[in-house]
Amino acid sequence: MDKNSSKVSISNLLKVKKAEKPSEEFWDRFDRQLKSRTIQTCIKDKPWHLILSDKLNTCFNKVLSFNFVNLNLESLNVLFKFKSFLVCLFFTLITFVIYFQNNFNEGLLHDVNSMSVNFEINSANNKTHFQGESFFEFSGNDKLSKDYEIEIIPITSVVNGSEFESDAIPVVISDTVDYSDSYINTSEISLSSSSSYSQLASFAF
Amino acid sequence: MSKNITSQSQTLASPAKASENDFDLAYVRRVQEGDVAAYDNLVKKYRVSLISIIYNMTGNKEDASDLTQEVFIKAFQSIKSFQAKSSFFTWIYRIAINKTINFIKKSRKQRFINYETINENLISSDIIEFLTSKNKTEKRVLIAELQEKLNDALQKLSPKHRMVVILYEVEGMSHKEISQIMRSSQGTVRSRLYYAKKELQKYLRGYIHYNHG
Repeated sequence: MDKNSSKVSISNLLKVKKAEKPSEEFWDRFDRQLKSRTIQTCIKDKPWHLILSDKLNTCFNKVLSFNFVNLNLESLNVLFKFKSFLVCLFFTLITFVIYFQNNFNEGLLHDVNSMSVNFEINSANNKTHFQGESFFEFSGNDKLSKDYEIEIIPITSVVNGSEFESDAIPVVISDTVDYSDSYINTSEISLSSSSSYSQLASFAF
Repeated sequence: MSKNITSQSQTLASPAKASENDFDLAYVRRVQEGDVAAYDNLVKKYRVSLISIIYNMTGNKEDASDLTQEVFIKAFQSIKSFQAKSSFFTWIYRIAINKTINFIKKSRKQRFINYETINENLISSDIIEFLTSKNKTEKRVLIAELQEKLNDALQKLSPKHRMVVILYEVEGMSHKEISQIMRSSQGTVRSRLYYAKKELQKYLRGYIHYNHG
């Protein structure tokens, strides 16, 4: 090797890499960024429904305080959509409430009527079922209609000039008197023993 | 836990390292118990060496900053699952190495951004002599040029060879420590180091032999 030539080892050259140091500003920035990123990882994201409710709350607060100035277009759009949805929901609910109220009243009246005059007649595989004045279902054969005559007395009707109320009418089957609200099975009844008028009517007098 | 600490202390090279590990584990335990501020001590202890490794691997100070932050965040998120089967030092370095190697594999463009500050006291007298022997241009410029050349040469190595050279030559770790961090045998570390140095000699021939005057 030439006397004037020298040799530098790779290890020595790589010490230049070791000598490279970040500046103080770099460390300041590094620490700040690391701290904020660590905090971000600690904070859990809010669930979507909470975020939505927060936004709606803010919108409503602004509307209630008549402060539209701070609302941007996007939030206004959301607000209008939500308002129209609420109006639709309100009308739908009202319609349902009215409909169900009517049906409930009718059903109640119907139940009261049918409860007092509700019986089933089983005879020779023929089943006749009727409830008050609203139902008269004849699921048997024609033979039954020949043998029996059934008169349906409406609750509020006047029989021989006397009125009776629905809740005061007991049902009389043969010799027994039942004051309960339960349906009565008249399977034991001999159909031929019934008079031409219903026993219910005869009990009323 | 105490069993783990004892078993680790036995595997560590020196008593100083063992006490350092105990010190780390004490902070780790505090963080695990909810003392988040204790993590700052671990960050302060390891940030310089971790950023140095990542910077020398990527050759870019901005990437190094981002990746080092990611390493600390990842370690913070996983610290509850740290069971002290290895030392905290090995564990966090392993996270750093995995993150860096993944980053290098993913990133297509390599852009070097060096640190502006160089501690000239750390540079070997041979290098200073070599740089001053040229005497034609400023020493500062020559150091910057050498930095570029070194970066360039290191980037020509595979990530695993580069990592071994950086951990051994720049960070001054032992073969054993490197083998623990990289989960490979000491023989593999030695052979990688030998091959990497040979490659670097090829790329840096102009700096290894120089003429006076």
